[in-house]
Amino acid sequence: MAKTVVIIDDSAFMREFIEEILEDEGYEIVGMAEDGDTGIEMALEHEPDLITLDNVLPDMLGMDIARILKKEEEISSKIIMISALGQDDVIAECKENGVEDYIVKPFEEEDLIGKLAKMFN
Amino acid sequence: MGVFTEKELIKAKEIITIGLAEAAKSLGTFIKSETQLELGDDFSISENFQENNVSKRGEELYLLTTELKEDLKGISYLIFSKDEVKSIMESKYPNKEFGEEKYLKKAQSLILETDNIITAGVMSQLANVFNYRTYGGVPQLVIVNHNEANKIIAKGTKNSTFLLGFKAILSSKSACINADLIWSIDEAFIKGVKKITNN
Repeated sequence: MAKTVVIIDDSAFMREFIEEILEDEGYEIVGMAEDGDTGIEMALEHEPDLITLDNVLPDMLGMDIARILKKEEEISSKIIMISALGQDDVIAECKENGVEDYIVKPFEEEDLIGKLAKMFN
Repeated sequence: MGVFTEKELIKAKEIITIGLAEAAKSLGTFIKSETQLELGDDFSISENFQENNVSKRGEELYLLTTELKEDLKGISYLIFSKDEVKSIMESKYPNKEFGEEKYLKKAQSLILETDNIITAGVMSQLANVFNYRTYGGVPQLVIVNHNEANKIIAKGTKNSTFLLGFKAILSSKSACINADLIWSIDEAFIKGVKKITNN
């Protein structure tokens, strides 16, 4: 059975880019959101195997979404942050909030595929 | 320069240059084309930043505005010409043809993402060097002519808390891109530079 994914990113380009990579790898995209509120709603509704999360969204930070989903709602989904922000303390804070792994943009397809293979194996 | 000693000014330029070089590297990776940073002989971190104007001419400039938030506040402008946007589109969608409406939608989305990557490249450097929590917000895009772009920049930088500014060009010869990058920043930058120079 295909692993399910919710993509949360305000960038239409990134949503499409991530969607294409994951679909080619056999993942099933069950939802895509361009803001934090909608993303949280979708994540709670589907509780997917994986959530890809941008860190800067129009209404909130991705690291706060991760905290809500993992620490407050305690969902089982694995979260991978995909963000252009690469500062050390941000990455550390994301991981404290339940983010499994972090990819700094720009990235190659293989970077994401490799991280996910490691995450799910 | 008033706010910095000579030693601090050298350090300030060094920090900005490393940040911009990171941004150029990120842009190069993103468009898969080697990209350089061009500062020019007159590169300065200036208190007269309101005189920073858009270099490129044209009736259809893609002007991206990003608000810099939290510990280091400011505003960033990134400007591409119509042809540069076309070049970036070709780098991401080689051999693909789109109808006019779809092209515009995809181009706008791609350029917003390009801004995100460039701005974050500089911000991450500043945040790491100064140990600040800072990031760029969601960018805004308008398509305007040269004069309108300068008016928007002049209005946006006219903020009493912004004390310094700089301008640079990110250039890829093979992709025919010379993107203008114009920043105005608040006193947190000055404090950060003084702290690390004098420690």
